[in-house]
Amino acid sequence: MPADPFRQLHDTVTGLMSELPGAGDRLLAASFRRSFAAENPLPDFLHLRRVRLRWGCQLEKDGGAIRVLGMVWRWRSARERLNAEILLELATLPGDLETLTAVSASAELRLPRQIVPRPDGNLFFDLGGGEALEVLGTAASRPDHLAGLWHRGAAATILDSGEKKPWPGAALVALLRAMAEAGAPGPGRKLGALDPAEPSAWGWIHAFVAELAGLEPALAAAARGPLPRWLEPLRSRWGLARGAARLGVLVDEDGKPAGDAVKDTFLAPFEIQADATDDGLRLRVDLGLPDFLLADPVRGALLAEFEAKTDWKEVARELGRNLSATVTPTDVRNWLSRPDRIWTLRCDRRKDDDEYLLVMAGEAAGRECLVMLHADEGTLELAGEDRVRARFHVSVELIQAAPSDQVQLAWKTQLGGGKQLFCDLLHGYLRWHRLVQAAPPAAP
Amino acid sequence: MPTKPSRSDRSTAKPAALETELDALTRALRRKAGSETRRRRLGIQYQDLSRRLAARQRELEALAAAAGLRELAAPATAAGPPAGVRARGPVEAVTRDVPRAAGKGFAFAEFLGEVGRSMVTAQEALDAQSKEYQASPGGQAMPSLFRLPRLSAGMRFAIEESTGSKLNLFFYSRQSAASETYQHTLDFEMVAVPPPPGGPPAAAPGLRQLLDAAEREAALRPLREQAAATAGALGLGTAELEASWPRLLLWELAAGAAPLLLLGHARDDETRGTLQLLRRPPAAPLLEAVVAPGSAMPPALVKELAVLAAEQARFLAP
Repeated sequence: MPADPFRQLHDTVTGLMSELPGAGDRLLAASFRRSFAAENPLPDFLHLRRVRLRWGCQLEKDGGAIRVLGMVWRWRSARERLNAEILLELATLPGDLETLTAVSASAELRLPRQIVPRPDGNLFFDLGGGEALEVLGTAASRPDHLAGLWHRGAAATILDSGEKKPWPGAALVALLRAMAEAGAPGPGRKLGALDPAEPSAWGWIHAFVAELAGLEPALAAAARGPLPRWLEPLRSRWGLARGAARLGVLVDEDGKPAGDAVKDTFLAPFEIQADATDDGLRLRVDLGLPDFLLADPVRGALLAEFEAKTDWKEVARELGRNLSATVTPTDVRNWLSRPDRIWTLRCDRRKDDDEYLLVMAGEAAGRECLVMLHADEGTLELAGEDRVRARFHVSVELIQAAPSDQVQLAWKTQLGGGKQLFCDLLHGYLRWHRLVQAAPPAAP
Repeated sequence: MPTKPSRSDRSTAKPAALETELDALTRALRRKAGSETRRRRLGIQYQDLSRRLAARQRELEALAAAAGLRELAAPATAAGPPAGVRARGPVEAVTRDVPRAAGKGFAFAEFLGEVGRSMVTAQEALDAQSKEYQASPGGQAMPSLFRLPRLSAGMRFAIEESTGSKLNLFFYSRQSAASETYQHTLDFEMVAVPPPPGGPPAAAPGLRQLLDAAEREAALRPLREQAAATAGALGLGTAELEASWPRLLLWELAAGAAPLLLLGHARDDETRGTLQLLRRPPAAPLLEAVVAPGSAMPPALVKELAVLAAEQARFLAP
């Protein structure tokens, strides 16, 4: 972690916000002239009450660390730059409150509601509808040594480790469906004090919170010009009302911010909210699921490129052959209009391009079916601040097109997307879970 | 026993909203209007007042939207409210793109000062309308005053790196750097609050006028050293300024390490006057117009300043 990953934010905030008290004084002075107007019926004064700064930024890899940038945006590969947003709300303070410099002890961590805490530390997914998936293994295990237990009501299917036994494709679909469902985070749990020396992403979050805690002293020290004596009571003292951030940290398999040399990384999305209270900054951290499943706008851009580059005749022919029925290209293509039943995954994140998988569930000839498509050498370009365009530099390949209950994921397919991918996915979630386990524990 | 303030009790100075005042006026008019004829007559007056208030609000939109352009931007070329202005509700909320001012550095305080001055100008227009209304039959039946209680606004800006590692803030225009720079937004809210106890200078006659020669010399020396700029700020020619030094009125607004003075001047023909805040170096600017030369100043005040200036000049004459 660099000494100050938020240097640019810090420079802007100190440059901009240090003018805030003086700006409030200027408003009072601007009202001054009405005091001289003849028979002024309402000699009131303008008072600057609240200011909110939304800082759009990107996280950029800087050697072995990450820094926050808010100037020029670019879209390179997803690995290099990540979009983020920081919000600061400043308001006038009543009375002679003490300057806020500390973080309240009542910090809270919330996890996605799909993650069920377990005393044994195992990773347990609530897939909804009475289904659950338990992952047997640890982040230190090799992906091919992972096993799972897929619960469906009272029934349980053992997902054996190793290359020999395939896994049911329906289990993958159930996991993807659950992971893609957005929803309120699960119940919070107490978070201990953040340690700046902590090498994981938690130390990095500490740097952001420390930046917030330094705001009020900076505002209190800001230079202010003179004001007429009788306006002194209207002078405002400024303080932090709220700070928030939507950040993503690329972490390695140990849950530490990933250096350049690390090939296997994933994004851990953090939403941080810090509210000023009498006890200090009350912190709440929502840790989201890793970015294996893609969300808009990247997802929309990839779907458009998949739609354009896929040979839908081949997909329909393969599905028809496995169903022993007639399926038209339009039948399958229409599945794209059901966003709740299609999932895009980033299988690999490389320096210049990424590898993607599209999983589609739909109905054909009266049966539930599954189609999996693979795209390699995919790049993303920015067509505007919030508009992304995807390009696949090789053709889209068909992996599976069959009734769901027939799909068995063999360890390795010619193109990927088999049991190996499923295990890699679960292994990724285990590494993410390790980050959760590294969260500073609350004092007993 | 006074209770200790809490962080949750943030400043709540929130004057009654304009729409609330209008609603109250409507209810009062209905109560007071006895006969149908009287009700109809008051209704017409009320509609007229509403139209005039709406016109004032439109002026405020344009004024607030134009704020910040004078010092920060290229000259406006189009008449009327600039593109990008939108209004929400009865009290204005303005979001606009402000043309870029490269190399100006952070100018947030100046920007807000301009917005504030525009709001004061709009309030002054409302003061005049209030006065007109009070003189009308409707106003005599139900005396009311109107004011702008709140202004919310937002600006979009970007950051660029200038020489060295210094960061500059600049404002967006849709045509310029939007394709390559990150966009940040800053929203702010201003409210009108009552004057503090003790009141403004009109209600504080104890204001000390600087008449001691040494004190005056210390205060005026920085202005003498920048005579051309001073003449410009006061709306005088250089020769005219030279003759006016003894006529410059100075009142002490704040003493101590960062003193602040009020400087007043009126031409002896009583045609116009100015009031300026005067700071001591290194504070900048030295002069800041409270009432700029050429701006409308109540004739009674111009006359008062001219009379005081003449008396002072006589007093200071050797």
